[in-house]
Amino acid sequence: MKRILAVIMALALVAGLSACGAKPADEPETTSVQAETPENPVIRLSTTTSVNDSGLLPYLLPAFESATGYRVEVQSAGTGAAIQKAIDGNADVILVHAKASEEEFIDGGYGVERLPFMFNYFVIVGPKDDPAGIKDCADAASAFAKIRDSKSKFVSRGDESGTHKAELKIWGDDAPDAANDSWYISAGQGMGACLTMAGEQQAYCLTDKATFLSMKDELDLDIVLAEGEDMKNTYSLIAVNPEKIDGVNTEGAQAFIDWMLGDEAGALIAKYGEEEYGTALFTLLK
Amino acid sequence: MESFRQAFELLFPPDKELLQIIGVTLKMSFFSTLISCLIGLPLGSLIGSQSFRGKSFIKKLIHTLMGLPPVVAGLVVYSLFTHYGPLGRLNMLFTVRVMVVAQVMLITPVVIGLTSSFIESASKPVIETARGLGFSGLKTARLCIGEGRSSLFSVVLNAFGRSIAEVGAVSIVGGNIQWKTRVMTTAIMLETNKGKFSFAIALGIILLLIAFIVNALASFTVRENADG
Amino acid sequence: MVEIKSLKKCYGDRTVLDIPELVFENGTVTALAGANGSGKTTLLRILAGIIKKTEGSVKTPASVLYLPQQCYAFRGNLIKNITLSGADEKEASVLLRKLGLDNLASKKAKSLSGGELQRLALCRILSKKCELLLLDEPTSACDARGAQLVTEAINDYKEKYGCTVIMSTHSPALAVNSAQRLIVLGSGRIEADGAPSDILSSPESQWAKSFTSGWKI
Repeated sequence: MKRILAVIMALALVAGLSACGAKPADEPETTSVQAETPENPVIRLSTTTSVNDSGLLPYLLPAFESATGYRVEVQSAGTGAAIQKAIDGNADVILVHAKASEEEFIDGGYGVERLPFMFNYFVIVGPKDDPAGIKDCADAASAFAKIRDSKSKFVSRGDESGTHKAELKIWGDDAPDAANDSWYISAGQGMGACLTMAGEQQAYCLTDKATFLSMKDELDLDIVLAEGEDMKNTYSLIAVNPEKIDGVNTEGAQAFIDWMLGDEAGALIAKYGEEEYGTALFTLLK
Repeated sequence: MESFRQAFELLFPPDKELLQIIGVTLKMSFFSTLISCLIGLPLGSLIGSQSFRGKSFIKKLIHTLMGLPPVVAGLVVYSLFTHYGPLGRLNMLFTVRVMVVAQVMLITPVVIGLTSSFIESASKPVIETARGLGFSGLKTARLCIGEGRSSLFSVVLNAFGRSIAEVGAVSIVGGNIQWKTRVMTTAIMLETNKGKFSFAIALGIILLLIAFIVNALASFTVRENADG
Repeated sequence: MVEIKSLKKCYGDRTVLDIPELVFENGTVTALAGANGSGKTTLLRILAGIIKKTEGSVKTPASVLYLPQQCYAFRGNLIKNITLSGADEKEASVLLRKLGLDNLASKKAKSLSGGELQRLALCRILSKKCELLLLDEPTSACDARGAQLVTEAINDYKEKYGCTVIMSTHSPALAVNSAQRLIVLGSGRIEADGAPSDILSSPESQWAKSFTSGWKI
């Protein structure tokens, strides 16, 4: 019995090994298209959770990697952390969505140039019965005013992410104070955790559309308001300035930016989300 | 270092929000420790001192639970207390109380495990000596606790230490809500996500300081009441 | 009287003690000898009720005291270690003086050396009255002087209370100076049983011989 088992295991091992060896041969098109490996093939991309978690990067990167031979290491965090990582010398290029922070980054000399290339809209999600009655508001600012007046629960990211900064901008000078306004919940967590919390507490929340759509089935929430002019969310690419920060893969960053702004990536971005959610999640800036 | 300066500035004069966070942290850790010790010390002593059928299975189970990933404990407690969960009607999600529940789930196995292995090994000579002297069961038990005071005390401190340092479970069930369920660890996580790394380290320094003060106070109190 | 009949102690399928019949008369002092693992401690612990026998019957008097080989120092000073078992401080001081520990009386018991601790543990035991005294290698950690004090203390105690004493030992001096009877155990069985001087001069079995050959009186 033992001997039979050993033979089976040996066979399985051989089969497994030969399968591994066979893999590249099975996909000749990838290897043949594969460009020459660049001198420094690793690009460190620091980006926000919304870009990565929505599935956009996992969708785009294989095409970029096989076209250019680069390998992209993605670090995703809130916009604040994404930018700080670049300042600390741990990234070659950043992809973020917070204009003011991006300009600060450029002004500090850390970034070469801010290249806005796509946008989407933030949406306000909330309980299905819309207790604050914001459904017909013209823009987010008036919707927020109604939420404040009715003291309806609202979950804020509270983590200085791009979404949080966009939310604060919409509140303007009358941003609620979590210490005194008990309806205003400052969660200090990522988008997913905040949406979960909003669902649990039947609260409103400002979110990017992609993350919400990807979680919609588990949440007892609906999109209450979409596409107000003040809800536009622009994403930019910024190469890290090699004159300010050592060890930056400048060629890699440039190759990534060139490819992202090119036609191939544009076509891919424009139709991303249609298949899964029935609507494109990002629009190219022209 | 920058972080030390920031830690100092937060403490002198004390930042109002920091004080509130420290308060929540201590409250959560204190009650989690108290409840897990109320359950774990007697149970652990019982398992350690008695021999019974299925003991080795129970010990394996406890050792497995001692390694329970906090995130898993958090998820289990979350699904119990979620709006449509079995305990959703209690409306306890995102409160300090539910954080204590998750912590108790994490820490109790640790208290039981440490107590039972302590009683099993360290108490053996005490028990043998006491029984050799013809002492009653009650007197033997009292001696065991008296002799093992410092070890049992370190079990309690260990529980407290785990509780105060835990982040995975409390962020899931507590939600890291400002002025409500934010504790030191989730605040550190938040600052890290914001990219304010040196401020996060400053909070870490303060957390260590709190842990140190609690330890020192506790061992001071115990030493005062010891040695008669 | 201590009566043992068809006593067996097994761990799994390993038999560590197998004694068909053994009787200790009241007021006698018996020494148990035998190599490590021969069953001396197991026998004493069964008699003391610390561990359970696997089969057979064991009859012991109502009051039994047992001194384990691994002595334990309780918290507190030497006096407190003795008064813990019910003696008053005066009795404790007398016992400590008897075993040469009076100069350490107010020291912490935890700070004692092995030999001192063994004598303290003996004081603690001897501060109580009993009908059966069980001692597991009471001089194993003692130097010659300490062993002599221990031997004297055991003899005096026996004299005073007339109790039965069973002690295991590797020391022929203790066996000869205190015991009327020596039982040699080997692999859980009785190898020899008789007067200490007889066994030491002419062992009943090869095994007892090889074991006692190292003994010099």
